[in-house]
Amino acid sequence: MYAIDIKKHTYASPRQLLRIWRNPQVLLKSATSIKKFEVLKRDKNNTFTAWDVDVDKVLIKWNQQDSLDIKNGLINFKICDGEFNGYDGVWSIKSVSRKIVELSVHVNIDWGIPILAPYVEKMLQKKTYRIFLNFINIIDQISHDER
Amino acid sequence: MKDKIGVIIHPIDRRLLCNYEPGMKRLGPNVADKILEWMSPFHAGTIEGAVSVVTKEKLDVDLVMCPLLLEQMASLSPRRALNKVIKAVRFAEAREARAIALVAYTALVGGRGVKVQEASNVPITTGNHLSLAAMPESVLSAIGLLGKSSYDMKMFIFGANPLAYAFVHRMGHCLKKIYLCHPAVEKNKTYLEALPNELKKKVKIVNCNPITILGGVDIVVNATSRYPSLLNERLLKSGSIIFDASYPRTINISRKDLLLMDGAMMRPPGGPNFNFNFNFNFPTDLCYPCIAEPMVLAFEDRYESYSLGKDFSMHKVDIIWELAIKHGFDLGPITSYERIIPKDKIDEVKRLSSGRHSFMKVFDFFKQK
Repeated sequence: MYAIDIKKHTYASPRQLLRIWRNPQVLLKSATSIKKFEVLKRDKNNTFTAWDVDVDKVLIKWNQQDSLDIKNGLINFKICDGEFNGYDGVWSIKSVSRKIVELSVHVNIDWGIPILAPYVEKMLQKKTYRIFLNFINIIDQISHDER
Repeated sequence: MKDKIGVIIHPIDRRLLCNYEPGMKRLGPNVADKILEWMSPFHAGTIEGAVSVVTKEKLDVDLVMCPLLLEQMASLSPRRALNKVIKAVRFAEAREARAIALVAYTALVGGRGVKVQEASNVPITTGNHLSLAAMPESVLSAIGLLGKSSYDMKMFIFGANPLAYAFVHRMGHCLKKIYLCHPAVEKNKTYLEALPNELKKKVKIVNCNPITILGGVDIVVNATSRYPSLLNERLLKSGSIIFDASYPRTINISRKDLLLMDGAMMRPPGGPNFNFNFNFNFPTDLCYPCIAEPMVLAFEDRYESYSLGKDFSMHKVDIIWELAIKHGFDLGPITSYERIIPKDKIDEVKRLSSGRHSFMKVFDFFKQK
């Protein structure tokens, strides 16, 4: 089990950033690693989505629930079903100055292989980091383009 | 200080991998394979308690995991598979192994260990010579268990390789007749020419459809890595022994009056203190001959590349077997599909084969045609 933390400062407003979680399909256009993305169900603050993400030519599949806490600029997510034993985290959108917004993500991942994990976890962490770094850059880029 | 050697192992199938790490069951095969590709080699266990009955010296054996499945070894580019094995060898070197054995499919990459040796500072051996010695011994043991005399028996071998010749070399003296069958007829002829006259008389090279011969033999050996297309179990004599050296195993039989066996196991010396500390799905006092070979060499204080590349010699086969026996290694029980063949199965073959004659089966076969 490991955690990833990534932060990025952006000039996009919190509203522009939150728009992506309201319409997450826009990620499909720019994130080439996302091979399949589907909104399964949506209610007031929750979105249930299905993901197929390409990592080194292998598709990793899971379904997740995103819960929007707009007031606090938080999007909590957790796995509903998929290849991870555990997967959860939070996206955070926080104004740090009048123009600058801090977009950050904290992810916990458990592949459920405690015996083998010590020999591969560093590599898994590296791969996960790259994926989320790519996501955060794309979110920034999309928000920037929409301005 | 006890001497230490390293043995590079790998998960030969998904079942063994999932036994080791149950969490792998949940992952799809593609994801599990990718995780193995990303994984570093690691120390999987230490075989403890091996003691030579001659020198009383103790030996520790480090089991180092090269995390690739058999199918990955075959499907990945040869360079990637080689690099993975070299990484595991260097890991074993760093743990102060004085010699390193490549077992299972790790022994087949890099020109059967030659390129691995070039990248390593310690002697590498594949354990091939002891495997070649142990397999015929295992068949001889099966003959004994069935209560038969080998001197009346005929053997049919599919193959034109060191294993086929090891069967001729080590069993020829106690069999009535041996048939060698393979499309590489010239190779078998060259081999036959070099045999001593006494053995030469017993060996016949078969280059045509052997259906009539197969009905009259008592032992069939598949020394190739494929299913021998000419083999038809309905033709075989009741009570026959079928030895399959292909891996993954290719021969399956439905007749209960035949004894299907494969591979060979060794019991290292050390008595109750011997412990693998690793689950190979066998009793803890048994090991494969390819693991036993570097142990035998270490007991002899011979840290050398005894088996490497395609080179082999019957002399080396004989010597390593003698040394193994000298240091207290025993032949283990006979096995089939990585399971020990129970006494009940042997009794069943004995009981069912006591009546029916093979020619009736040949007759049945042609009648159906």
